[in-house]
Amino acid sequence: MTHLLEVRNLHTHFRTPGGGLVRAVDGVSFSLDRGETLGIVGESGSGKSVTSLSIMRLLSKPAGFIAGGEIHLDGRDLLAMSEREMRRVRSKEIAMIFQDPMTSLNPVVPVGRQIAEPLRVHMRMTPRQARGQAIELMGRVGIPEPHQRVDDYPHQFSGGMRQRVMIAIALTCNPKLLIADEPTTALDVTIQAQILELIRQLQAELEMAVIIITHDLGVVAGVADRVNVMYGGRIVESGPTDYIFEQPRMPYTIGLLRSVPRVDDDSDNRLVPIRGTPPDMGKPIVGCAFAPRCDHAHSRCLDAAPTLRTVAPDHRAACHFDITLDTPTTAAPSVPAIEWGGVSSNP
Amino acid sequence: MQPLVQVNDLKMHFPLRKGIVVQRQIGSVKAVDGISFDIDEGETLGLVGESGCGKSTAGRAILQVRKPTAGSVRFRGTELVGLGKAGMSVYRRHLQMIFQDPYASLNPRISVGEAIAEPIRVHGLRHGADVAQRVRELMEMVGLSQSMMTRYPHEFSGGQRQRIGIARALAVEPEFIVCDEPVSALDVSIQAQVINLLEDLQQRLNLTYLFIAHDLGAVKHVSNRIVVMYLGKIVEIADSVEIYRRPLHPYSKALVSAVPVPSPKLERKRSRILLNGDLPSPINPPSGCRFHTRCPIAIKRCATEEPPLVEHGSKHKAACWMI
Repeated sequence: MTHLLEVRNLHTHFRTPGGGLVRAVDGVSFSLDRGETLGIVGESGSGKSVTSLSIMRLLSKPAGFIAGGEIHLDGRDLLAMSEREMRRVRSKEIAMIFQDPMTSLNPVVPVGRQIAEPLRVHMRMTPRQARGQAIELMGRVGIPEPHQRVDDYPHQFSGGMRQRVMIAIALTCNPKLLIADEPTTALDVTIQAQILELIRQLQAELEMAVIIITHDLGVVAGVADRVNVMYGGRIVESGPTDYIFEQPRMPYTIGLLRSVPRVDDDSDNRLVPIRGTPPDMGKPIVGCAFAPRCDHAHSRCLDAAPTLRTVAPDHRAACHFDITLDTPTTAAPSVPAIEWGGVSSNP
Repeated sequence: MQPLVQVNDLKMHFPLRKGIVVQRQIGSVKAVDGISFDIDEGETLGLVGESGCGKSTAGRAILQVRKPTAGSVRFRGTELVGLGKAGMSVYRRHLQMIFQDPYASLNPRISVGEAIAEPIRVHGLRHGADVAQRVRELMEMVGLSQSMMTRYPHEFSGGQRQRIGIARALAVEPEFIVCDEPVSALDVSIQAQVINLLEDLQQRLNLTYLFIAHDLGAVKHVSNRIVVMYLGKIVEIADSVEIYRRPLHPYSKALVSAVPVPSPKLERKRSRILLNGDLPSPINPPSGCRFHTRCPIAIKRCATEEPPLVEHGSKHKAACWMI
């Protein structure tokens, strides 16, 4: 059986006003099966959001464009589709929710009508049917008293409830794939727990595949079956969630896990940060993008970018060396460290 | 020993007005509604809670950025509330703040060296060429190279800007710093750098911190003790390990259980206490215990009588009828 989603060697670039080119996504390949949850982890600028926008073909034009690669959904190439066909895919097959629901909701339209709109347009429901279905969906995503709240406006809802409204809209057409881009970043922890629980529960009921994009390793650990770690526009490690967290093989993943303060850690140990700053995507990256910050880097890392290779069954990492959690970090790195002065933006 | 900072029954209410010509006060937002705690010298006190619980307002009220509605804030025994602008200016030097978004507090047209030099000049701490020397010292202290003195804020990354914000706060040689979400806007890999820097500076300069953040992992890591706030009230105060190991208040329990841990094995084993609904409005907070509307173990009494913050074991206080 083919995968539900297959991304092959995706390259997404942005032209900058100064005539430069940002390779936001630089050769990304992965697949996703039906009912599976994939976590994409990375820092700002790693290409995680651009990957999902590329799948939806929602890049801001004309600056952003897909420079190469293939994206197959159920065996059909999304990049070869007309805009008309693509709209069908967005309405019936892939749904997306974002970090800030307030910017995706229309402030002057009651939420019930916003949920009903896709039902009327795509499912050809009558206004009455659509309204009934909207109320049912609101109940399903845990909005209390949906009958009373269906005519309320977005500003009358709290952040968590707005995200529930977004999820209700996303569910209108029974999508096969839900892409959630930082769905809980703007929410408080107790509300985050509610929303993650809702996504988990709906996924089990509806057998949707989910891509959850986040910078929070804790969120991924709790919901994802598989994880892609992104850095500098590439996937640098990929595998089942347990492998990524228990036996990480890419120095960046190891560094991230070590640098996060954990609530279950009672020791007073100093955090072990990753030194330096993420790469400037406006400049071409030669070699491994992580090399300037890596404790294990050799001259080879600066010359040639490592390919994503299989390091264990079903587990791939992009590193020239066999680094594990047990590999001692060398005190003096063999590559000159970039000092704090690595200026990130253009002067 | 006398605590460095003593906060007693501090209240910060914001009036709600209605009317265009004649404005009547129709109520008030009780952002901070009677909080008390001490901060010892050299200590880091964490302040956690969800958005709208009043934690940032509390930090500002302590520093007298806005005049508190009622209550007392003592710094080394001196009452700060009611000191007035002139009286306060003497203490400003000792009490500083670090913000979430340092970019918003930096003038884009002033070079970083100038920005750090400004407070030194305003307070007359150095003169002439000594000012530049002190700026270089401060930049080195926060891990910025001296060659960057002449650069402008937009040329720096988020982590570097936070370092500039820290250097500005340190410029006046403060004793107490309120850190309001100092790492929330930074990338994960940069957060640890800034947390380590804050810890190093504390050691080196014997600083006292009030560390306000919603990231419970970071707060636990840096704090000696932690205060949990809910709707303008303190619900629990305890040692930082204690509060995660043995939270007493049902809200603290829910909060701790909701924090995701980066370990899939632990995540599968953990049981979450899912709270119902959202934070009620601070304009019209629930009667009795403010948490009773969402509390899984509330009884009748909770709706009518407000539980006091009482001691439960050494240095551990909680406000709940059900403990």
